[in-house]
Amino acid sequence: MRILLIEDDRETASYVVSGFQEEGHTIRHAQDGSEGFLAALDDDYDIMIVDRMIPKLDGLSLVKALRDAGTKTPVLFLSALTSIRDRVDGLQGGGDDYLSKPFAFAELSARAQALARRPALAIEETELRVSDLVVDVLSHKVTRAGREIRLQPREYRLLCYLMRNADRVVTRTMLLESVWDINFDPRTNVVETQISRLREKIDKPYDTPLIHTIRGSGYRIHG
Amino acid sequence: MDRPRPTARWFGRTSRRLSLQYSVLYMGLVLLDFLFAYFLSLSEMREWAQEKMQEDAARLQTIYDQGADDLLGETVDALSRLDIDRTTIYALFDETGGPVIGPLAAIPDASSGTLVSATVLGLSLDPHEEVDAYWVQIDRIGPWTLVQATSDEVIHELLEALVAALLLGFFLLLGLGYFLGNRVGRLTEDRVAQISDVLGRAASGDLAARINPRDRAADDLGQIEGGIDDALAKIEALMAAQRQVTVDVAHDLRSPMQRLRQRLERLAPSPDFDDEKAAGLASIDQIEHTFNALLTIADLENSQAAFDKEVVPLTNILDDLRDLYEEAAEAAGLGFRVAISAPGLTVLGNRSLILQMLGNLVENSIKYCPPGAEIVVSAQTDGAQLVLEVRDTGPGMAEEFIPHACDRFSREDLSRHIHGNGLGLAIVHAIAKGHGATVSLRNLSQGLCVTISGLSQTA
Repeated sequence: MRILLIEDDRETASYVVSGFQEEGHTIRHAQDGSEGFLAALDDDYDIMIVDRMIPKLDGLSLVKALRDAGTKTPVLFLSALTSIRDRVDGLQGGGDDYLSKPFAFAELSARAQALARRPALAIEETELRVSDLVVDVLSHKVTRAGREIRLQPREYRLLCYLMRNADRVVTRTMLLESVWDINFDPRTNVVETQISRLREKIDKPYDTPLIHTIRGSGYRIHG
Repeated sequence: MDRPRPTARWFGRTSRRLSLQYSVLYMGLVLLDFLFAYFLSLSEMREWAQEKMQEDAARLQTIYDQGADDLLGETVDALSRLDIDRTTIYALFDETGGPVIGPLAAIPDASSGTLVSATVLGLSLDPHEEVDAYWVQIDRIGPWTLVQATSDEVIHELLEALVAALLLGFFLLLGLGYFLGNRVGRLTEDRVAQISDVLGRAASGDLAARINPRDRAADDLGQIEGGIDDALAKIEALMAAQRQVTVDVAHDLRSPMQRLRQRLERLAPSPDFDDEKAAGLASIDQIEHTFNALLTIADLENSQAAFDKEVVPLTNILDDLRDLYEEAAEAAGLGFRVAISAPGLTVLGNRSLILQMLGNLVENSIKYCPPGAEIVVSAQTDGAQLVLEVRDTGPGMAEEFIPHACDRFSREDLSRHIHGNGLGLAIVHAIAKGHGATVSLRNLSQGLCVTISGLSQTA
């Protein structure tokens, strides 16, 4: 994954840069808005991680300018501004996701990977497949090794989200936002419970487990 | 936001009330004026009748003095006959008081210059005649007694004319007064409505609302309008400055917290410090949670219109609520139930925020209720509005704490042995307020009931 990070805080930048490098990604760091703007036009990236408050050209204006210039690279905003309006401004201003500071690197990495490989203009897939687990998106039919599995609506949404992000880590917050559609932490173990119910149906009767817990980060489905 | 024009009672509209009040005042004045005119005319008429009768008497005296005794009788007779309508009566009596000429049978018992009724004169009048009294003039002409009487018919006619003029004046005044008053009033009222509209918008958070008067110095209303605009501009600037402070504080605190987190995260794994590291990260999570809660409250209170509202089916929200909390309630040994009074209820608002509001209440109940207690979330309508309730059969709340329950950082459990940051109910309050609703808490015979009332069902 080729990443462009636009962040003025050196310490945060080095933390993000080394984190992604350790995961084997290529990352370029720009210190301010104008440097970031030129870097974004200069090369092709899979994702841009942009701080909202950076010198010279603020993050929001930078992304608007890039969108006007025709750049379609997904943008993840990093910000100390967390109000609903700031989020809405960020997402309406061309951002694809919004992460508040302070953030854990695992959360940033999971979100960046979910965004980066998201086929931005892809046609809606009609079938999701991980190993012998198949979801027919049109008929909502779930089968593993040819046997049909009956899921509750929430379990189905959870499975679809995991499968759309197959081989990538998804965090608890990402699941709450996407599967439960809420922007707060209910502080119950609702995610864990649903995951374990899903495992009961998807993994338990079979030899190879597909849903994996990534300690300290979240969950990942892979064959 | 477009505020409807205030629909006061018909008479409550200032322009209508003022114009009617002025019309009535003018009508009173006109009535006084007409009464004055009536009495003035009455007295003028009397003087005129009296003078005329005195002149006639003097003329007849001259005829008598010239020795034309017959001519006196003939003249009086002629005069008497001339009067068909009996508006003016001439009668002549001899020295014994016997009637000689004219319609009267006897000399009336009245003195000159007085107004006497027709019956005193002994006249039987046609009831259609508008005559009921006469001014009397009695003169001695030689041995004769001349009695003249002038009817008040003229007065009646004058009165009729005056009443007609008065009524016409009344209606003209009423109509014109109402029309003009209303028109002038409306001009003022429209401006007052605009002022109240702008103030209303400002009160609901739109501090950019302005009246923009055409001419501030034109009149007192213009000065008020200008004053309101100035005040709003000042408040807006102050709010922007305060927001900037919040942003700066947020940035200044969040960045060091970020660094703290990344330093902890980057510590090399070591059996000696792994627990410390985990505890440190958990503390940062806790600080972050409190921080976000505070910013959420500030955000909701500062800009109520900042979040999207839509009409959401209530079953949708309550199903999600059950999904999120049922398990946790069961794990704590509590019953959890959702009750909707009627199917198909909807709520106008932000789904995630309403869910968070109910979630916080349920979370509190789970936290404070002993095993075996029950939590019931219910929804019912109150007219066009929606009432949500979360009640439990737990220990309730100390009465003296209830008024402060929604304050930030207020906790009934002062020993703080129950986990929490004291912001849950403050968030509930802020979310309710952002939806134009209110929160009230009351103790039940067993347990606590929190009511959110005043939510809209539709847009």
